Order: sequence, then C-alpha cells, then structure tokens
Amino acid sequence: MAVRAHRNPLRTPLLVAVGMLGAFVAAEAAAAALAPYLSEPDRYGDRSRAVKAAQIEDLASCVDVLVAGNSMARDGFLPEVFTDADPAGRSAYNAALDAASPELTAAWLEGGVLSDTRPATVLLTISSADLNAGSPAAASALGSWETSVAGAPGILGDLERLASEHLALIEHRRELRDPVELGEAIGAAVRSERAERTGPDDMPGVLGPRGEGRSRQDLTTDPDAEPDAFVTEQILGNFDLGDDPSGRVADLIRTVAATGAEPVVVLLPVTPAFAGAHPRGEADLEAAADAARRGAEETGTAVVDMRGMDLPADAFADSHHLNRTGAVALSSQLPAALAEAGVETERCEP
Amino acid sequence: MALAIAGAFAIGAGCSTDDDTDDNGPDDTAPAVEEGRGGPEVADVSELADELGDAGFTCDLEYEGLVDDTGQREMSRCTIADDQATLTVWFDTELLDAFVDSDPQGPGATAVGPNWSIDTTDGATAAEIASALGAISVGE
Repeated sequence: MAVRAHRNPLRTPLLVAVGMLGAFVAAEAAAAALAPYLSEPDRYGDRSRAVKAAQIEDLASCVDVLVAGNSMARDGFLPEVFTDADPAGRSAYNAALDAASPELTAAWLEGGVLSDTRPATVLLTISSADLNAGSPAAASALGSWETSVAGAPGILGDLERLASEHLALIEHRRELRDPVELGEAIGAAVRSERAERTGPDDMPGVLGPRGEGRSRQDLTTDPDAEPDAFVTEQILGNFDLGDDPSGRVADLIRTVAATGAEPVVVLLPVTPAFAGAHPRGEADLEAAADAARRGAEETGTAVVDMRGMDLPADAFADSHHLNRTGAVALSSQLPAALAEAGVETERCEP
Repeated sequence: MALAIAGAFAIGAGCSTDDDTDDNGPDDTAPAVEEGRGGPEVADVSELADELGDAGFTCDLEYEGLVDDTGQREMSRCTIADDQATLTVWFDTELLDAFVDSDPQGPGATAVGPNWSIDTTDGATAAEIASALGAISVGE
C-alpha cells in the first residue's frame, strides 16, 4: 500500500494570502497610476477650506501673525493692510472660516494650519456668534469638518488620514467605485488630461490670496438695518452661550499656546442692530465678550477690544461683517492696538 | 485586469455625485415671469448657484450648504450684484408653499422656484432673478 505524503496544512492559506497580497499590490499600483486623472476627493468638506489649505501650502515661509475665527474675522482682517501698517512689517495670513465656533477653529488650526504656518502670534476673534452653542450654521460647519477626511476625529480619523495619504485605493475609494467616473478617468489617462485640483486662487470672488474674505467688500449697510432671517435663524438662532463659554475660549487658546505661538483674543466691532437681534440684546453681546475675557484671563492671554474703534459710517457690509472700508480701518489699527495691549512683536521661525 | 481589481478593492461609503457645471455666461433672453412657480428644480444649493451662473448672476457660495436643524432646508449665501442673497433649497416643498402663501412682507423680496427660494435685501434683485429663471417674486 502506497504511503501518502503529508501536505503542509498551511500551504493553501499561504497561497491564498500571497495571491491576495499580489492582487492588492497590483490594484494599488493601478489606482495610483489613475489617481491624477480621477476627480479630486473632497478632503476638507468645504471648498473654502480646501482653497485655504492650498494657499497655506503655497506660502513661501512661516507667517508672523495668523488670524482665526469666523466670517467676521474672515472679512475684517486684511493681511496685506496689516503688514503695511505694522512698524515691523510682520507677515500675516487670514485662516478664519465661515460659521466657525471655537471648536471648529481649534480643530482646523490643530489639523495642520498651525504646523504649516508656524505663526509667532495668533489672533483669535471671539464674538457672540462664535459662542452661540445653539447656532445651526456653526453646528453644520463643525459637522461637515468632522465628517471630512481632514477633520475626522479620534483614532479612526487618524487612521483614515494616514491611509489616504499613502494608499490611492483609500484616497480615491469613492471615485473608483463610480463606473462612470472610472471610465472617464481612464479616457482622460489615455488623452493625458489630468483632473483639476483645488488651487489657491480657486474662489476669487470669495477669498483673496492671503485668505481674506472678498464677497462682502463692496457691500454697505445702514448700521441700524435689522439683520436678515439668515442671521437671526442660522447664526444667532437658538441663542445660548452654554454652560461654559469661557472654558471653550480657554480650550481654544490652549490649542494655540501648545504650539509655542502667542494667542491673543480680539473682540470685533458690530452694528447696534446686531445687538438687537439677540434675545437679550446688548446684554447677550456683553455676556459673550465677558466669556471671552474670562477665558483669556484664565490662560494669561492678552485681550484686544476693537469694539469701540474709530470706524467710518459706511464700514459695515451687514450687521456684523466689515466691508473693505471697515476692514482697512481694523487691519491698519490692529498693530497699534496689539502694541498697546502689550503683545510683543515676534517673528515666526522659518 | 488590474483596473478591475482596483475597482473591486476600492472601499468607500458611497459614490460621489458631484456635478461639474460650466458657467455659460450671461443669458440675454430672460424668460417672462410665469404665474406658477416655474424655473429649474434643483438638488442642492450648489446646483442653484450654478443655475444662477447660467442665467448671468455671479453667485460664489459662502457656505457649502447648511442643513438646518429640522433637516427640511439647505441654505447658503452669496453676493449677487452688491446684494447679499440667501439661497434655500426646500426638501419639504409644503413648507415653501406655506411660505409663499403667507405673503411675506418686510425689507427685500424673494425669488421662488419649484423647490427653492432666493432672498435678497433689494427687491429689484429678486425680481430680476425670478424673471431670469422663470420663477416668481414675492414680498416686494
């Protein structure tokens, strides 16, 4: 009777594993080759964030002064005007995001902006709009960040970002699953037509080259005109500063301070009508400013209060956004205001 | 074969359905305003902004699209002809019907289409938009 040779029980699983690994390597190589021809994945959940990320990537060097906050900061701070007015000629970039709460600002800054710009000073604008814990606009903006690749929180978010950076199969998984997209990409590859990628100048009507807002620059409003429904429902809707508004400010400040940059809290001017859109009017505005001051005090941070600054009558685009006239005034007066508050003139380290 | 494998290995939550819409420039032949709520039906504010662009109105969205906490509307803003406009796409058109039926008053006006509305502070802007898109204008 013939003796049957023993077969290695691991032989088949090993062959399968090697086969799968080989197929994966081949698939990744194919995806990587096709990647330049596939549509750009939505990494940031918002086009203006993608444009700002491209602008920041394009910066030739570090930035001496970084501004962060919501659309009030986006529209109110003109980096080039600030630089021209600053005795030391410090460089500046406006990293503010529409509808940004302190939580979104902190996550955005921590997600790469601070490490890429390496600022010496970070101006954090805080207002009642920032601190409204009930704002539908702020919740939506934070939600779109946290569901994006760039902003997904926690270990899974870190893993996804790591995988996206190194594996085309992961980075372009949505595009590769779309047969129409895939077919178009193959055709584009044959024609050597690379797909468009977001560039630093991609929203010329909305963002300037240093991140400053452009869309409201030419608008003028009557300072007594009531804010419209978007402001009252989306920005100030469900108005509530929450349980610990000063703690939220302090947490944002600590995020910045942890990088070695000097945080400075800045309070921005608004129209009288903006106060009237709050449930308790001026009292709510003061409560928000007070929370900002307490958060700053808790962390030993300077506060620059620009709410009483000299502004021309036609400085506002709407109830709470400065237009170009107002932004020029604010940006040119800020260097002196910073000096007066004892904020030292520091340079970033390239 | 490798491409087929790539497709098989791709992992994702779903398909991306972004539409690329070219800006065709100004439309010189504005349609007459119809009695009913005419105009295009849109899927989101981005598409509404594209329709405005095709009709000759530059509208660069400030926000990607804010879905309000009721989930009934998606909103965004842009500046149209020196006027801040609020774009709303209504997922529940009964709410939009109710808005139109309420005969809104107050500053500004609203261009209203089948499932969208565009509020402007200048009534003339809303009327122009309505005329260009075949929609109606309310609240003037």
